[in-house]
Amino acid sequence: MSPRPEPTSRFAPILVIGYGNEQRGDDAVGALVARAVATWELPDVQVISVHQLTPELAHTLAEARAVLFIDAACCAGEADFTVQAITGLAGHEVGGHGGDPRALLALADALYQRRPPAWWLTIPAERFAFGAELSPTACRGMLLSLRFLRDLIHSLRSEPCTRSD
Amino acid sequence: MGQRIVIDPVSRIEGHAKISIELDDAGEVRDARFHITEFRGFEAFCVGRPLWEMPGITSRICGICPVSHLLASAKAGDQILAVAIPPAAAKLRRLMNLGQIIQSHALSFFHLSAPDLLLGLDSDPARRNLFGLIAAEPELARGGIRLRQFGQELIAALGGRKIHPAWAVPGGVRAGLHPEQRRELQARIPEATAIARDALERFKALLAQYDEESRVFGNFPTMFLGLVGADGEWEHYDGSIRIVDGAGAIVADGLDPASYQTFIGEAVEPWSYLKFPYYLPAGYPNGVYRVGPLARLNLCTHFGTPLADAELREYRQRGGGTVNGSFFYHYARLIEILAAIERIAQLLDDPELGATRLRAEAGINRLEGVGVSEAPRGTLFHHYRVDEHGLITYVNLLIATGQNNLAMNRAVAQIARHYIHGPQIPEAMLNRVEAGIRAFDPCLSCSTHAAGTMPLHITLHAADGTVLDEVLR
Repeated sequence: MSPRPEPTSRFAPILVIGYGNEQRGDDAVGALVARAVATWELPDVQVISVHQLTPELAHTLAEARAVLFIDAACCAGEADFTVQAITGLAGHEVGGHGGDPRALLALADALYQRRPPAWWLTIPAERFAFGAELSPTACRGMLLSLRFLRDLIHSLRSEPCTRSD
Repeated sequence: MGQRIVIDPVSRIEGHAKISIELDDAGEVRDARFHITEFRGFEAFCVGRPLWEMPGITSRICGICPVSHLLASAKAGDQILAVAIPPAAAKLRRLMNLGQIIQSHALSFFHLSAPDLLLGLDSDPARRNLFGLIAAEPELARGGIRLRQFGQELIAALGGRKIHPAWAVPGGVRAGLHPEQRRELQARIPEATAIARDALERFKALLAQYDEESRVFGNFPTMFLGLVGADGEWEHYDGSIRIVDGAGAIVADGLDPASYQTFIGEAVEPWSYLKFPYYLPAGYPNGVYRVGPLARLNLCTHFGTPLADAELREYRQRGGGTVNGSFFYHYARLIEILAAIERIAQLLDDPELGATRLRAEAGINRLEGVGVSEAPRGTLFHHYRVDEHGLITYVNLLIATGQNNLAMNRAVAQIARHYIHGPQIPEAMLNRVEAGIRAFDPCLSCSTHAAGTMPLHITLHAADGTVLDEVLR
């Protein structure tokens, strides 16, 4: 029998997952934000920087106290970045190339009956060419979102654990 | 009036493709094609890049099998440096490739194909997915997640990250395996073995239910191509090329992978971006061959590990010796997972793995190199030419899914001919033509992620192009 994730506790990590293709310009911004957060070396924050969301992340996610997904967003409007609490659990496919955190949360819920509170931070993206540098828009979104994330993580670390399972 | 059915896109495969089926005036299948609609262009834009960057660049070809490209590219680099890499580096590369085989095969079986196999090909499409599988078989689904996690964590332990580790380099590898990570991986072997054996038992119990699919899912004699070890043992990283025919007779053996252009030709068709490799002496399109798990099990004499060897004997009894039915790709994949776990256990016990000499230092000593390894889906060739400064002047990539291209097209036609007789398009055919393709586990490699689902879109065309019917789900 496969071991299940440990029940979430106040010591469970806050999970930050940044994802995107680091060779395709602004698509990298989520992964780059995650790497920047990792350099803060916060003791109860687990940071994962990945090319794409893959099914096995559901296990890690189920052990977390809270989850922050960071992604690039095409055609995202005027805002420097957008944050939304993820409330719905859409039953999307979690295949090899799926990029929807709601699908991963739904998978964790279905597999382990765990659904940590989650937020989805998206940064506007304009350039997706191979080898392209970050656009000024994505750079600005990255810097401002890092400030926001520092505050959000600080407030989550101060809060008692909130379980939803 | 002839009709044309288009399935676009094909779902639960890695990448984007569509299938078109042409009907004749009598409503019988005239032809069927599996179209690859993506264009990647890696071979073109790598020209001018330094050789040293190639493992990092080409591993981006795919987020599912980056390790395969990383290793084949590093091996092509070894050839250009003209070095024999340190033995520990070769073992570490093998270890990573085995982790890759496990995680990729686990994704293919547990997440992409198990919903069809365990819930039934005629079950409600709205439930025939991973979530439906979890509801019906939660322990199996959790086991699949754990197996994938095991493979990914092995890759991350070596390469520092799960996807696109820039770890293997021309001449060796950048770092070894930390003793603590080695112990952690060793501790997970029993669980991984139990999951793989359980999945095998479940699959074998299902085989009788899928007798018809076993007969019509790409079941025809072709040649099979892949690497084998010196004594014919199952091989995934080195060795020489063996080719057998559909009856198991050796067509060619001991071929140097670096001379692949002397025995593999590459045809193109105007309706697909994917090349059509073929066995050169047999010509095009007669030189159809298959690669991947089915081929590797047909080519090898044995695995060299006890559990996998016992499974191989039973597999050959069930399949009748050399197995031509592509439905058995699933079965072969599960046996390879078990073999990979056993080999990982052996390697983790090898004291040489802790050696500190991991990289041969050299400059550009040859202007051409070919790196070959077995990717989860089959034999992968990276062929580079460089100038005297090590800048790339030519790249040719021969990818496993491409080598299965001719066989996949024949499989689609075989399934369509079996299920379509007349102007009606049976639902059973639509499910099965996709499942037939999925048995090959084609990897068409999206280069960037995309939010949302990949729906099945089918349109029915008359010969004059008029849309007669359209189905979205």
